[in-house]
Amino acid sequence: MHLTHLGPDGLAAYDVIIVGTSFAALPIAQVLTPRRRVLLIEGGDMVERDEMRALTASDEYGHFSDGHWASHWIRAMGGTSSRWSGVVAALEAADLRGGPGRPAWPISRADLDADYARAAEWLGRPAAVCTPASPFGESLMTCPLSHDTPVRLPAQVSAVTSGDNIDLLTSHTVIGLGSDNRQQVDGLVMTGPSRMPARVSLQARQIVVLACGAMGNVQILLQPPDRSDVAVGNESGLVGRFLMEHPHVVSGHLLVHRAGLPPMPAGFGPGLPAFRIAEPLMTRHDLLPCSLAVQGPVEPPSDGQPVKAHFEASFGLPLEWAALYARAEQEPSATNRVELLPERTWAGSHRLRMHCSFSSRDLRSIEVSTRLAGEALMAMRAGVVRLHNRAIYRETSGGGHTMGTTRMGVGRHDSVCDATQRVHGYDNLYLAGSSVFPTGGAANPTLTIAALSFRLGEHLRRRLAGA
Amino acid sequence: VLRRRTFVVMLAGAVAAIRRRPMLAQDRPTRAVAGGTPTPTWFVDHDGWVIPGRDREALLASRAGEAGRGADDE
Repeated sequence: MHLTHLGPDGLAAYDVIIVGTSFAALPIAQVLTPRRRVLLIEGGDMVERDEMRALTASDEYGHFSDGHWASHWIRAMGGTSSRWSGVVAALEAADLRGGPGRPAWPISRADLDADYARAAEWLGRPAAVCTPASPFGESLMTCPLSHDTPVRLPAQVSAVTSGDNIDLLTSHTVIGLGSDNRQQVDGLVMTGPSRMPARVSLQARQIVVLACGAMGNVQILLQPPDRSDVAVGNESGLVGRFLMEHPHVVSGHLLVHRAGLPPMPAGFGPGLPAFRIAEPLMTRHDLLPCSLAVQGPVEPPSDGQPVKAHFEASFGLPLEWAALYARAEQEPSATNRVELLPERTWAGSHRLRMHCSFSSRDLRSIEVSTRLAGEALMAMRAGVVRLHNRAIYRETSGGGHTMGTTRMGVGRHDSVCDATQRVHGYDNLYLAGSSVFPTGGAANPTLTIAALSFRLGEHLRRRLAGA
Repeated sequence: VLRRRTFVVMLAGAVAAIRRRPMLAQDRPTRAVAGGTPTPTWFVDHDGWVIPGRDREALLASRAGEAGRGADDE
């Protein structure tokens, strides 16, 4: 049922309250209903309105400016899914293992396999899109990207909320949490259409899931409560730290004989060929994960004709021009962060300030990965790469992927939540979405967000069943 | 004596640091040839092409040839 205000019983009727209506929220609701009473809370309305945009306007420092973060933080039904381009890719086992400067995830790729398959089906993709990367020559792995029509969530929200056990409350912005004992969340502070923040009580048995993005989750978790300087859920002091994007750049031109590229896995559907550097070579060169997608055909460079003629004669094959599009991991750094500004929005929440800069290792990983891919393709007589060094170091931007601000890990010394996505020290507070990623890997995050939420939904279902 | 030794150590350190300085990517041979000969087999040339040295030399030779023909035509 669609609600525009809470009844006299407040939140008492619900087993689970999920804040958000995007890729991170809906899988949880889908798993828990119809056996459990679930409430989805959406700060915006069915479509994005100007007054909700004002809530996401943030100050920006570092590589990103001109409203980069706010443009990928949508307060409306379906959340930021409206900005999704439709690229689906799964993280590789190496992405989750960690390495120098990269924390390991507290779960492995094998733990996620079943959830990945479920998430792919939910996003309208075949299970083959979750196929792990496979070797292509000695130095490369092939890891194609699924690229098809993106799912838009408002229709799915309507389908989910048509069930008996689930309600959708719109135009209510959660701006903070209450907890008297610092072990249970016992209230939500919300601003509704009246624009007066009010606290709504919760009971100990009720579970709260924050699923409103890597900036939205932080905005709630950093709001200081009335009686303490320490925000509820930020006892680790790490909420907002380790903000990550995916560095995106066309890192090179590629002269390629397409028939010589590895075929897509059976039943993969529409997609792009893509490569990664094999793990031993990544370790040797101290590289962060980087996926290089073959896009095109593209316009040839002005001085490329002699090179094309030379290698067509050398390979004895026709070659065409393509672009190598790099999507890479950004090294997690505590200096890349989200903080509160003193001033408040009309809803009563503090505005945010983002600090995010790429490190030299981030950009060098793209450069070296592209060069190593060029060497490997040349050795296999499959392609010729022209490195765009200037673009890599001066024009790398982001993919609108906001990750890592409430990462999961072992304890309060290294993370905000544990492997089940429960905030350390709290019994009934969970986090969902890309904010829990310890590292970003080299895959678009949508599939992983949905997979983690199916996993969290199953965990909550077992917990509520007393298993 | 101590001062002279300190000076020599500092000088040696400075020389070592200069010798270790990172080279620009386009000047760096990317794979050493077995036997230690200085000729690179792979080379990222100044235009960014990741191509073997022999192909680079052939392309440079053809470019030089084209430039020479152009001068003669004029």
